[in-house]
Parts: sequence; structure tokens; C-alpha cells
Amino acid sequence: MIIKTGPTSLVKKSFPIVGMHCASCARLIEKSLTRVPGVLNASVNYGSESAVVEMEGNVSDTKLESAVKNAGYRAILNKSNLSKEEEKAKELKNLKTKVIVSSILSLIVFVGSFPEWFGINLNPIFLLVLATPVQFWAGWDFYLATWSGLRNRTASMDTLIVMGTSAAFFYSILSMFGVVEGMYFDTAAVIITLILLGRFLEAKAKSHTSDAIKKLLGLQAKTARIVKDGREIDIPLADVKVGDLIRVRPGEKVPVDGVITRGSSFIDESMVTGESLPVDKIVGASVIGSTINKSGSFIFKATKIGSETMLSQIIEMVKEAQSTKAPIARMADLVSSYFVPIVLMLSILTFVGWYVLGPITIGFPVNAFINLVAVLIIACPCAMGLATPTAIMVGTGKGAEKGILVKDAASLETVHKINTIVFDKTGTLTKGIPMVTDVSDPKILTIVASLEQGSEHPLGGAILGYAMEKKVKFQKVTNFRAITGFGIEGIIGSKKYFFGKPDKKGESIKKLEDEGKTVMILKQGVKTLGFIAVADTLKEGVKGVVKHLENKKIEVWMVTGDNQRTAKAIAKLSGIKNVLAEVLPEDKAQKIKELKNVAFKVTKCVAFVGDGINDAPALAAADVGIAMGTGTDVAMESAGITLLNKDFKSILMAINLSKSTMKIIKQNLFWAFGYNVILIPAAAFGLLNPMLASFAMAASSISVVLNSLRLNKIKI
Amino acid sequence: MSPDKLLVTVGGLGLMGFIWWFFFEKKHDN
Repeated sequence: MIIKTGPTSLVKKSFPIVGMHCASCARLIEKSLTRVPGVLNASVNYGSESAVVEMEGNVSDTKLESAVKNAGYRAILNKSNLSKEEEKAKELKNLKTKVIVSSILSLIVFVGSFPEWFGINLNPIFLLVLATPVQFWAGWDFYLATWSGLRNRTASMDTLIVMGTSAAFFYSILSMFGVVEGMYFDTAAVIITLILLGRFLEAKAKSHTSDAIKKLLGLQAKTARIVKDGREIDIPLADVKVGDLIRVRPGEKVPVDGVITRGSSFIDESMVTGESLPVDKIVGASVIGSTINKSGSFIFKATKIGSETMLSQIIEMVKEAQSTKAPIARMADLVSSYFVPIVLMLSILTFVGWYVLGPITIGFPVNAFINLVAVLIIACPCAMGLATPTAIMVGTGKGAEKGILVKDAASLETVHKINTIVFDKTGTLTKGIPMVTDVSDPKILTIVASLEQGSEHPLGGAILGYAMEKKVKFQKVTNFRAITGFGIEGIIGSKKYFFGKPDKKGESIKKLEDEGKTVMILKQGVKTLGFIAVADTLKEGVKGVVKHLENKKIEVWMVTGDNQRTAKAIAKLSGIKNVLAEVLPEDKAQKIKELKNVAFKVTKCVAFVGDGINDAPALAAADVGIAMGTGTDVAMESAGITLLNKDFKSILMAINLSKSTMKIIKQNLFWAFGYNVILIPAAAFGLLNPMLASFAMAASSISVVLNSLRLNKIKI
Repeated sequence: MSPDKLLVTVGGLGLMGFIWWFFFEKKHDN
């Protein structure tokens, strides 16, 4: 995508990048891109795997491509989105092949390396043949990343893997020639395989993030029926022009944004605006593209098309929010950035110490070299690749059991840190469907329900449902008529009734309206017989959860597109003190961003809980997006966590699950590094024998896996 | 101390210093 900014020749270009696996990769590509003549600024995002480059004049794509290639990655320029998807799918497939092949090879190498355990004695040359592809084909990316890292003067987990496995591999080759003793082909192969497996699981989870946008695009109508010269013709959506008159029939989607010029209808806008009740639309009212026409047929004039429609704006916001999401700071990488240089220095110190103080050697300093390699091998924590993925896997499995679907690991990591939680109103705090809440006199229900049988009004459905529940006997209605915008009327027996908007409002009606309820009255002639109030009701358990969150010192907010009165009524019922009402769908994400920055030098970690399409940008913009499973697919795709369980308490469960999982991850990393840290001095002083090294490797891996499995037993 | 041991000691310390400088004393150019 190219955006020209201003009359000068400043050009902005964004393109996807493939092959990044940590935040430092992004920094490296940025550096490489800014070195290209003509490039003023480059910003690379690890989360969205894309680069934005600001250039003076037009720098050729080849130059940009080769700059990225020099850094060790691939840029996809001048290709459609599909090819980016294809590239990603290809990469995932490649990784899968590597995991499968290296698993098989490593297993054979492992079994063959321990004849005393498995009784199979394999020739060292055979082990070398099997271990070589694992080391240099499956593990090649680690070498590339290490090289890139060194050019950036950083050490990451990759450096550690390359150092440890290469030391083990080349030491084993020397051992084949009798220079030293002991074989470590198995160590090298197993470490690479386990870490690749962890990477594969992570990449697979990450590949779903663009589904939300695909779903949003799928919501658009494909065609529009335009009215021209008295004829109606179906044309593709892309051919619709501003000012075109478009016919929409019942059950169809409104193709673009516009204003009704003829006819009227009820339109279900809940997908876009979050408004729970279908909205009554008459001539002059504006309609939103992709909403569903419920009852009537109407003609409207297109006012906004293409990228200007509300849905397109929402798509843009979701894209933006997803790409600005902060990259996950990997704990292992952070530890490695200190750990690796220290280990390197220790290994040199070991060599010097043994050379100067050790037994006198003539020719090759065997002891000093053996102990240098021992330090490097033992420093490479085999279990490190398992520490996070196993805990996340068990944690997400446990969550799924309880109806908490975790889409990306980052959300599970973040949710326990939240100190502000924002709830959408409709469908999240409330049930999202209108229900009868008050009936002034039970006798009027028979008449109202009988009248409503012929009505298409959405509130009518709520009254009919209520009447059936109360086992009301329906009566025959004649001369039924719906008066758009007012109500319905009909004759039962010989009496004429009207049911609809109240013309005069008494105290009791005003009080109900203040509670956010819609009140309708039944009249016989001029005499008012009674009223029925309908409202969207609060879900069970909301109040308890809000109180619990506040006890945990989490600030609770409610944000809604609904009017102040309804918002306040629901907030009062649920015990929420902070309310943002009349927030337009496009402003919800903005409000979340404001909340994130509002703190006085205190970092706010904001979670957003929502269900509608209008919530998608906010779900993506929040530190953690939590979607209600009863909501739309798009909301679920934009969120990091989906609560399938109707029980509102699952929000608390998700927070607890995150806490437990993070605790386990930290413990795992401790075990993964711990064994090795303890054994480094042993290796440096020449006390380490191969059996002890193998034992440490196996013990740290087993303790990490067992510790992760402990999550299954923890009560959340 | 024999000349070879002195050489290894000085070389080793130099290498350690280089590693320290390479990884920790940096990023002034960012």
C-alpha cells in the first residue's frame, strides 16, 4: 500500500515481512532499511509482521527487498494479500515438516546414544549422518537468527541454542577422531527438535489473527439492487455510486450507507451499533451498510460507498489496532540477553583457568577444551523451549474445559495484569434481547398478546413469548393495522383497541422510562387500560462479578452506544460507577486508548469485554480483548479470549487461569535455567561427567512438563 | 609463568573484555 503525503515527494509504503521470530528481529530490519539511500524512516512491527517505510522520492522495491534480505528476512512487495497468506501458510508447513523429520531423527539418535538403557548400539558415523540434517537443516534458522543478532550486537535464545548445540555437535565429531571422549549428538538434536516444536505451536496460534478481518469483509453484501428509470437491476457492490437509489427487501442486507427516500422498516443494527432492539426507520432516516433489514421494503439513496462506509471504517480500525499491539516481551529472550554473554565469558575463564592452573599438557590442551565445551553445553537449557508452550497448552486446555477459549498466548499472559476492565452494555452485561419486565394489570395481557400476533414489531415478539409463558388464551383479532412509528390497532369482539406509544405519561410510566425501559400502553377508545414495559435485562451474576473485580482493585467501566438514561439504569443495577454513554461505534476503540493513557504516571492495563461487531476495534485495541461467546464471530476473532460459558463468573475464572499459568511459566523458566546454572560451576571445575549432564537435561525437561501438568489440578 | 600461559591469560581476558564491550557497551548509535 502506498500513501502519498503532501505535495513533496515523501512516500509512505507498508509491506509484510516474513521470518521474524522476536522483537529484536524487528529492530534489525529497521536498521537495515534505514541504511537504504532515500529511506527517511522505517518502523517494523513484530506483532503484525509488517514494515512501514517513509521515503524521499521513490526507492525501488528491489532495494527495499534486498535490504530486508540482507538482514536475514523476506519482504513481500507488490503482491496481493493472498500471497502474504500463502507465504505464511508455506512457512508454517515448512516448520511442520522440520518438526516431524527432526523428531524422528532425534528419537533414533537418542535411543542409539544410550545403549546401556535401550540396548541398541549404533555406529557413531550413523549418529552423525542422522544428527547433521537436524543441526544444519532443521536448525538453520537458529544460525541465521544468531548471525542477525550478532550484527545487532544482541544475544537471544537463538544464540544460546546455536552455541550449546554447535559445541555439542562439533565436540562429538572430535570425539569420533579420538581427540576427546563422549558423544553429545543426542543433546544437540533433541534441543533443536524441542525448541522447533515450541515455535511451531506458537506460529500456529499466531496464524489465526487475520481471521477477524476476513470475517468482517464477509459481512458485506455482494450486490446491490439499484433503481434506475423505473427498473431494478442487481449490480456488484463495487459499481455502486454515491447518489444511486437502492431497493432493499425484507431479510436482505443493506449494501452501503445511505438515507431512506421511500418506505419504512425495522433494521437490525445490533451487529454494527450494539443497539439491542431493531430500529424503526422511516423516510429521512440513515441506514448503515451490512445491517439486516427485518420487515419492510424500502428505497434509499447511497451516501457513503467503498472505504467510507461504517463497516470499512471498522475494518480499518481493527487492522490498525492489531498492528499497533505491543510485541510480547519474551522472558526467555530477556534472560538470554544477559545469560549468553556471561556464559561465554565463563567458558573462556574456564579455558584460561585450566590452561594456566590445570595439569600440564603437551600439544592440544584437552582438559581446558573439554571443560570449555562442557560449560557451553550445560548452559543450553533443553527445557527452555518447553517452559512456555507446555504451560500455555495445559492452561488453554484447562480454560477450554471451563468454557474459556484462549486464542493467543499473549492474552493469557496479560489478563492477570489488568487493572481496568471495560464492559460493553448490550449483550455483555445485558442479555441483549428484550423481555417483559412490568405489566400494570395481568388482564390486559390477553388483549395485547392477541393484537401482537399480527405484528412484526420486534418488541411484539417479547410480549408474545411472555404471554405464552403465562399460558394466555389468544383471541381473534379483526381489522388489524400497524401504524408505523406509533403502534398497532385491531378489533377484538366488538371493541377497538390500540397498543403502542403512550400519548400522555404519568408518574409510573416516567419512572419506568428512567429505568431504561420501553413502555407501551393499551387503549380502548380514549380510555387507557394499562401498560406493559419491555427492557433488555441484566445477566445473572453481573453484580457479584463487578463487586469482586472492585475488591481486587480493578477499575470497572461501562461503555455503550445507548442513551444516558438506559446506560445509567443498567450501571445502577450492575453496580458500575464509571459510565460512558452515547459512544459512537467508531469511538469505542478511541475511548479504550484514552483509558490506557489516562493514568497519572501509572501504567494502565485495560481489558475490554464485548460481543458486537462494533466492539471489534475496541477488543483489538485493548491490552486484552474478551468476547462473549454468545456474540458475533467477528468479535470473537478480534478478541484474545472468548467466554463460551454463559456464566458471567467465567471472567473471574479467566483472570485466575492467567495468574496460575503465569506462575507455572515462571517456575518452569526457573527450572529450565536453574539446573543448568547450578551445573555451570561444576562444568567449569571439571566435575561434570556426561551422565550427570544427561541427567540434568532429562530432569529439567521432566520437571517442566510435570509442573505444567499441575495446572490441571489447580482450582480456578 | 611460562610465555604460553601468559599469552592465553592475556588473550582470554582480552576476549572476555571484547565480549563485555560487544554485548553491553553499545547502542549509542540508536
